[in-house]
Amino acid sequence: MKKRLNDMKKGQKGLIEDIKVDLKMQLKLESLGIRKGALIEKKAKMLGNGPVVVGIGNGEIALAHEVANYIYVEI
Amino acid sequence: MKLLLIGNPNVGKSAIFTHLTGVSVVTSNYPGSTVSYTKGYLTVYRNTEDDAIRNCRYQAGSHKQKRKHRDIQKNGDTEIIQDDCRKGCRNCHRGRHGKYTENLETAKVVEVIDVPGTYRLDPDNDAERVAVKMLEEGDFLINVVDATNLERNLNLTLQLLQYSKPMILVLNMWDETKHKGISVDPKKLSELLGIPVVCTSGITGTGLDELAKTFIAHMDTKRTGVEHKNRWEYIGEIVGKVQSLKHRHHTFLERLQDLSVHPLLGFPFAIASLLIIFSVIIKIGDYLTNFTSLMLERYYSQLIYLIGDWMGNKGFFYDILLGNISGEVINYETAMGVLTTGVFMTLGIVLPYIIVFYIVLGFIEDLGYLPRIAIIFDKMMHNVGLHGFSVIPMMLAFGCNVPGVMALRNLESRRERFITGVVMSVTIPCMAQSAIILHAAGTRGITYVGVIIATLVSVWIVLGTILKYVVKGHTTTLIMEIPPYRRPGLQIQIKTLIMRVKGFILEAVPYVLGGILVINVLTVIGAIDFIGSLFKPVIKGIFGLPIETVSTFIIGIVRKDAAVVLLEPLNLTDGQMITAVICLILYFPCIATFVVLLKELGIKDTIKATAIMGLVTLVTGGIVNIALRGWLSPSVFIIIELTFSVLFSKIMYIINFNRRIQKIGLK
Repeated sequence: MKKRLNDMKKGQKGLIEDIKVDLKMQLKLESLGIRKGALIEKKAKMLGNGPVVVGIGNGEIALAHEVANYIYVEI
Repeated sequence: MKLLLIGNPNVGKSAIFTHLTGVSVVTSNYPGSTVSYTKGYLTVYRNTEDDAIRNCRYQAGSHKQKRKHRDIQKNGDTEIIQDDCRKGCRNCHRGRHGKYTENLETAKVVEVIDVPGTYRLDPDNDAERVAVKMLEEGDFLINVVDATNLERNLNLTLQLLQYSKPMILVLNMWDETKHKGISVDPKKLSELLGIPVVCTSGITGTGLDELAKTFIAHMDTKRTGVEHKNRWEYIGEIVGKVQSLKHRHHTFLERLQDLSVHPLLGFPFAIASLLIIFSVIIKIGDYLTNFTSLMLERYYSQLIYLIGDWMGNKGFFYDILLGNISGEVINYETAMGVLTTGVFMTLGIVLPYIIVFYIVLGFIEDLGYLPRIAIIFDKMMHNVGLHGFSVIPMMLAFGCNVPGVMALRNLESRRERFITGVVMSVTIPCMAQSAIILHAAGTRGITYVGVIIATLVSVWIVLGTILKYVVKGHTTTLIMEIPPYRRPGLQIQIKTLIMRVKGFILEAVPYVLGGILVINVLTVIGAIDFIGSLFKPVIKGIFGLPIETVSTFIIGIVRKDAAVVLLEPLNLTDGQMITAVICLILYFPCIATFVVLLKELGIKDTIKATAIMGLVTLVTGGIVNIALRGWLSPSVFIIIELTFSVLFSKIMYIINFNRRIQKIGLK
């Protein structure tokens, strides 16, 4: 099932299927390991459209709500 | 020869740098503590007889170290000697360490550069731009990677491998891999990448001697660049071959990690920790200042009286250096001499607070809590056109605005830097200011301290909101690595604390003493009265303050804390006192902050920032002056101003909603 990162539940894992942001942002995400095909886990989300905390590789990364909204994950 | 230490942010480059060169740099547990590069020297000296390599930890200093240095000389035939060692050891200069100095001529001095952390080689902030520029000039690369996070780190490693430069891969945080149930095979990794791999732990220092050895062994080798087409695929392949994970239970620190970014509990947790942190700092600081004032009165006063007698208790220099010390005991707050009030202010009041602040800051920095605070407050910062990462410079600014302004470099866009810089230098009082404000306003009652804090918060919100819609450019979205919590190392903590306190004594103290000196001279020659008459309409008309306060505004350019002290003897009413303190905080940052601001923002933006500060002061000072004339109780005023600022921010948001949508740079 394909879901936006924002719509995922806490603790859900999946492979990133698509990242629909501009190229500059894509490169930036990629340098942190967020790229198509990577395994991603949603760890937390701040209230009121706050940042989303995801686990990728062995590390954690915080993403703005706006960005997380355009990351599609296959669960 | 140039040796570059290069790697992702927050992988421990700085700690390795310190070990190699003996030059101390501040380390912390959040990405980007090295914003500009640091240079150090490593002297490599080879002797063909033996390959034993010793790393001399000697720095200019104690006898014990010197003895150690001599021992190393006797034993080691091949040595790496820190350049500091040559400079610092007098014996070497005199040539008593015969063999050592003789051979030094043939030694090779290697310039070691601690490159700011970068995730990739196509930069989008200043720190990363510096990294790429340095890379082209380097001769040898030491790529420091976080062994617990191999996949992401190797992305940069593969990019670095494209350059035809000799390179060593350092798997730092090696000890942490065990706690995390990660095992990495360094031999295999070395085979796959075709470069030597060394495992180290920057905090404990293990493996660093081996790194030095490996460097010596490979320093003259050549290497041709390799390019990998499908970088991530290749990384996946490597990681699959060298790394294996074990499942294990969550540790206490990891539980705390989850709690601190918990959607519901994270915010109260952050507020509670910040409140605890600041109240602890203020309590302990208060206790310490009582102690230091007592010590000054008991012992330092004797010295002052002696100097006074020696000067004949009158004259130009007496007035400037000692000021008014008549009376039974010296009133250090009002004497206004360089040696009385100047010394009391810096060493007696401010230094204790600074020390306590940096102890606590050092701890939460190394623990890794700051990035989490950034996440928690991200939403709030959006109201003023920023994102969570701007919280870090602001937190630093509570200690001293100067490091706060310097941390602006980590922010990506000019707009973010400008808004953060202005809002920060206008509203955030440094520890020195806070200490004095509490001291001065506290005697007038706790509600008045509340008025000051509420006013600053309101200005923060209103000014930030206005800047959000007025300043052009874009604010980047928050994308930030969150480091795991790490147990802070005591040794590193102490080292950092000493460096910071030293920095304060060397940089801030002379400004305060110099400032008081200048003001005293100006008063004696009558210049203060002249400047005062120029600003009379503003001070008297808008702020409702007596004309004498003009001198405090002048000294406030140098140090705010010193200025607030000057208000004490002026017999101001409660309202006047609070207005004066608020205006003093707002109208101009101290000169040290101003200079750094100029460096970070450029002349044009700094002029704009200064104009904004003036305007903000006029408006706020006027409002506070009118409000505190007695017809409005201070607590009601607090409620009114806070409500107004929040409403203002919300209304602006609704009006500008459509514009905001366009700003997000998404496809």
